[in-house]
Amino acid sequence: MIYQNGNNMKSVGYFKINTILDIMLCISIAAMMLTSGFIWIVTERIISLHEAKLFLSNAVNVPGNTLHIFIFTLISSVCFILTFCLRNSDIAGYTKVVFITFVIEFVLGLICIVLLNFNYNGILLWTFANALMYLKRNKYMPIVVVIAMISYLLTTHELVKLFINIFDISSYIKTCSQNLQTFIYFIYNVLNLMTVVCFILCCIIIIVSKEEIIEKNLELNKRLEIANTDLQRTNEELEKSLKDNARLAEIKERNRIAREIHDTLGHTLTGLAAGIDACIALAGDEKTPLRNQLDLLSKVSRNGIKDIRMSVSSLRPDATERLNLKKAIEELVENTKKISGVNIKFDCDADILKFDEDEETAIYRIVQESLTNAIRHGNAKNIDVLIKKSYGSIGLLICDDGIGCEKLEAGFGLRHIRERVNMLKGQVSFSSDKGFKVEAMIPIRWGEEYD
Amino acid sequence: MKKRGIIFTATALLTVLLGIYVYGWRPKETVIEFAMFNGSNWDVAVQESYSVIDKAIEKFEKEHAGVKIKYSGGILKEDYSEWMSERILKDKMPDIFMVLDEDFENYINLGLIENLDKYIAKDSDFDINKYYSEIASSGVFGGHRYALPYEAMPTLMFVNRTLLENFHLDIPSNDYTFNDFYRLCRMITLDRDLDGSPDYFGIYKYDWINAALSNDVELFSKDGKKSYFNQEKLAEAIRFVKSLESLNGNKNITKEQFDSGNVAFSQMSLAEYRTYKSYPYKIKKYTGFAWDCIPMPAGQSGNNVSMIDSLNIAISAKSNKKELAWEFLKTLTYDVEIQQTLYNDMPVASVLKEVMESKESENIFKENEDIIDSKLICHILENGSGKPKFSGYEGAISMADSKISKLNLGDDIENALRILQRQMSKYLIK
Repeated sequence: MIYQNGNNMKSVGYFKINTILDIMLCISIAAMMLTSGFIWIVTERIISLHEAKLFLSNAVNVPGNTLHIFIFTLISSVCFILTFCLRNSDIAGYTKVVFITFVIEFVLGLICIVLLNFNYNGILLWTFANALMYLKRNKYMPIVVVIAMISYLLTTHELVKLFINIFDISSYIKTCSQNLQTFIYFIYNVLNLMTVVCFILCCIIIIVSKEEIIEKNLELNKRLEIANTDLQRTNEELEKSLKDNARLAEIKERNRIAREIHDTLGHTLTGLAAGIDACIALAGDEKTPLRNQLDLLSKVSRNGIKDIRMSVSSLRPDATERLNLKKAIEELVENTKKISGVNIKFDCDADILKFDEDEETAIYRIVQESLTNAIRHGNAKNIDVLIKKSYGSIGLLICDDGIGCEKLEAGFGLRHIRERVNMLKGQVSFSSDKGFKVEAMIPIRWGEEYD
Repeated sequence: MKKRGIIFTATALLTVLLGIYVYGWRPKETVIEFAMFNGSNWDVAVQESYSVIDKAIEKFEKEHAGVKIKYSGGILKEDYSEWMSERILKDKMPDIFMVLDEDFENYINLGLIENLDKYIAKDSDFDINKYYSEIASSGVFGGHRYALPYEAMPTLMFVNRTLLENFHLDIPSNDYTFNDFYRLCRMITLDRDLDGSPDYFGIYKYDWINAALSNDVELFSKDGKKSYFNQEKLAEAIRFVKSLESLNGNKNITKEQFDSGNVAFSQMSLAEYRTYKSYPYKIKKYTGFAWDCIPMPAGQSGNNVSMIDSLNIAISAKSNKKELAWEFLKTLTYDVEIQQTLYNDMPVASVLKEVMESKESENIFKENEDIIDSKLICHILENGSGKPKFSGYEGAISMADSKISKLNLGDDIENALRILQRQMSKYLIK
């Protein structure tokens, strides 16, 4: 079993459970000692007054050697105090030690109860109040409660006396004078009741504190769940940005290679072509074999230059790399017009569009994706592209007159658009009423708008 | 690990110390404590009241080496019950003890007396039928045996021989009846000085209980839960007693009149008879006249029997030497030699048939010209009725006695008994 030192936590308002347990221990021990001591003293008195025969004729049972019983309860009481102190000391961490203290208390308590002929069984309540407090795992709780209930019930004087002959403390009290009788009955009943009251108080405190812990746990759980989802989202974003970074790096590399080719090979070829042209000029107009050869070389070199341009432009996927965003989009629109024959109208209210690279890429891609979607899936004839810059954000609107779609499905590249916008903490909406409409709002980082 | 080692060592040390303590204080020899009271249970003076017990102890200790029997002497019978009660409260109950009738039921209810059934069942040497059954059954309560009888005490009829001789009357034979007895009493009751009331009387101290027993009436069930007052045989017995009383006029006979020899018959216990009459306990009493004892008169439905009282011995339920206590109990109550000594030396009857019927017993009454002999006592013991041992007996009997003594010969006795039966049932339930 696993126990915990619950002394620090279990309290309700000003009622600290340890205070209650202290009081309960005092009451239980006082009750036991007073009961056994009273029986011992009364027995001695009866013997000294030679009233033993009269007493026995009214007795139901004789308790045995009352002095021995008194000494035993005295020793037991010391044991109860020791085990209580032991549990409150550093040793409380050893679950086995705590468990053994409970077993000792339970056995001693039972022996005391039997010796006192079941006239006081509150000491069991004391042990179980402690056991309940130290129990951490709820799965042992029902077992302890059942044992407590059964043992308390089976040691109740009123119940036991139906089955076996046991002496009643009232037969001892009756030997006292009338005034004393009332007083002793009062103390006896008060001690009995106080034990039960203390036990109930302990139970209430334990239940309430447990409930508080449960509530606290629930709240913590909720917070943990929220943090978890946050973490998951951040993780996804991170993964995406990693992918984007990789792509970006690839693009950069391709751009670098393109630039290299353009600057070195392109330059050389251009120089070569210019040189050949000069040679042709020097050669004159005569169709000499030299002139023919030079013409051929000039043609080859120009073809080479064209080839290099083509490969450079194929290496550089984005116009954004070479041009500013507005120019790139204009080029994209023009190219698309030429290729597809669709009428595309591009409208931009700003002269220059210059943002961070990721933002620019996003805008460019959204436009590109939307155009492709409109032509490929929407069979549009006219497409309007509108870019509107406002304070701190940029608005995109791409609408067409195509067939649109009944159901927005991922895979139209829409998910891609949404992800890009989300990454920039923007908002995007798609609608398919008359044709298809993409509306996006991307916030622009402050102060990064420059020429 | 270190801590565990220390705890282990401490526990071991403690166990050894405890062992030494227990060993040191263990008694060097087994001691069984026996409790008895001084003197006789039957209100007669006895000398050397411990002699039989001492002999029994001697015999027992010889048979059981290393076992000592201890008893504290000097406790008077009237103090005995209180002394026992105090010992019980102190938890120092003797292992084996004489139990008075008044305490018997209470001790059983308190669980202080050991149930002997299992000892009897286990002990193949023991046969309960060797006791007189009525006497043996006095130790049974609620279907279980809790005690064995030690002494038996039958009730006899005292007869003033001198007075009968003066009236030229014969001593009645041992099988005389109520009618014979009534005739004798009527002849004796005489107003010699002619003052209007009789000077000689037939009977002193003979009550309806004696008459009922002799008329085969059982008043209570053995457990004391039922009473049988509403029967014709009891009415007959009461009518007989009332007719005897009416002979005396309305005069109450005093002890002085009896002692001075003016009364012919009286109830008398065997103890009194043997103490005052037979050797060696002849104490000078009733010297002015010759006297003897005879059995009780027999009723129409009954026999010449009487009430048989007994003194029982029980074993403490709290004893830790019960087996030895049982052996000593057997020595006291079941040993023929000890019981023979008891019958020889004490003014009581033995509880064993074998002792009462032995050759040695026949000689006890031979020395005088006694009417009573062992055979007659055997007859009474075999047919008599044991005195009930339930705790409410004295109260019930005194209640019945107060009602019955108020009745007169002319009253409707049957009706009175019906009423008494109802009252008695209620009383016994309480």
